[in-house]
Amino acid sequence: MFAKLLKYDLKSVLRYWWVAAVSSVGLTVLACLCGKILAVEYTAMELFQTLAAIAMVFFILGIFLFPVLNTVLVYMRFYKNFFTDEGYLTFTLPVTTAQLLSSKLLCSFIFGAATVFVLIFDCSLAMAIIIPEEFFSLDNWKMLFESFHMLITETFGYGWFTVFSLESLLILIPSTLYASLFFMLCLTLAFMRAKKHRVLAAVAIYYVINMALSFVSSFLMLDGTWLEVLNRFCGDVPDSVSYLNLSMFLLIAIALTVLATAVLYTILHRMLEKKLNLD
Amino acid sequence: MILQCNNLFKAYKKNVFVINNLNLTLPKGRIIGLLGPNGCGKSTLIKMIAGVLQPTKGSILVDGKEVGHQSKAVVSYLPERPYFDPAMKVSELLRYFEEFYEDFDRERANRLLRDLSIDPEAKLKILSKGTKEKVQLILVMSRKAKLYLLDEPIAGVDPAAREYILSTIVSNYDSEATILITTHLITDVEQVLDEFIFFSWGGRVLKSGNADEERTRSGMSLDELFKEVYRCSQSF
Repeated sequence: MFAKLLKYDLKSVLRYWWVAAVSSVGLTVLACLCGKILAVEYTAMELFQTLAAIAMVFFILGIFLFPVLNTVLVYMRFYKNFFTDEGYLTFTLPVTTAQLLSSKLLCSFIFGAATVFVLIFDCSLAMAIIIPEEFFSLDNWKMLFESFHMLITETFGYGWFTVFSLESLLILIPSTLYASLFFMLCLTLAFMRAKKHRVLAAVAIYYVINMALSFVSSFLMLDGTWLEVLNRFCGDVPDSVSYLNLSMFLLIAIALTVLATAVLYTILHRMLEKKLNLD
Repeated sequence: MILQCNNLFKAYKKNVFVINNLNLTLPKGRIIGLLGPNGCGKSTLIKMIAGVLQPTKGSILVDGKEVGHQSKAVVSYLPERPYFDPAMKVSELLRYFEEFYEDFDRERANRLLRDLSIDPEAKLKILSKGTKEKVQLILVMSRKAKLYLLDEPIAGVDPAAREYILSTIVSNYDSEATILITTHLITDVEQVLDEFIFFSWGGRVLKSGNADEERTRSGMSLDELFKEVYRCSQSF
């Protein structure tokens, strides 16, 4: 049943997402072409200004609005599917609440990852259009990798680099899930508490809780201050000790994020299962 | 018994109960009318059985199971409003039901769609309100469920369509299954009912019983009987 739910969630978001993705690529190409013309062929000031404005608008639409649109599409699906009339179908399917919730969560994760890939593609495409000689030069890529290699060996070495990369990757997954769950929770709270303008209420709840959490986390010094304190406490120590501290700090951050994600999931699951009353 | 409600309460606001200590059991293989005026809690009860509303207190057992994914597999629910994604085609909805409900009979659904000349390739958003309601009814009645919950199935349709809907309901259900129909249009549905439950505000059961026996005994139609019973209950 989970696979079936996921299939329908993916299909529903994909219906509009691919249009946004193709538009994003298209607008990036247009923005870069405008930039290109601007760089070599402009003659009059007016043409220069017009092209610059068009290029900027296309660039903003292509690069910045696409992730926003992805977020809107994913959470619109969540809201429509759960809290509008469609909820009468969703909540009468012979599936568990956990399956419903996990499907939405995985769907948002998949489209989040896909959006990042499209944006990386957009940036690569922009470079390929604006600076084709540099972009397609093998020597340049070689130089880039050599600089990267030098940076790694001269700083923390490949051992620590692998550790930090793995830890960053590990923290990325739960924190993405946490972010999705957090917004889903705000939408659910808004649906349960507000009678009108529920999406606006969800945004308001999101900012209020976020501000409260930031306050608590800075009060508890969870924003990296502990690491500074620890490094200062250790004093003049070899780099390996500082790296160990950073690694431990990242591990604790992973554990805390996993814990927070699990707590959010449990709260949301309980709200949907025990407290939800459709209009 | 297919349904058992024990000491059921539902309040939308604190201490304002729409359903107030309801105890109800429904037998298998009957068509039962849950009849009462607008706002008396009929839809609330049906929604709680379907699992889209949570009881404030009390328990509901469907085929011996608490309301959850297992009970939803044996309950076929028709809400009083359109509840499908309007961007979907009728054929996509058939596939959707086929994938999620093991008891969905695709052949029966196709036959009913053909009978009503509904194009399976049509998107829901281009269909008229009446046709949309018929599509919903076809999907719900094409399941071989143990309990059908039909919330005001004839409220929004013209008299000709009402007849078709009622005949579809009667001719498309398994004799072992129970159908619970809520309506305030008692005259229209009483011909198909085996049993009736008169509901009043607060989810109070004013009277219940066998439809034919009651008609013979009282010499009144269910509609007349309801008015009589309801008048008496108001005077107390």
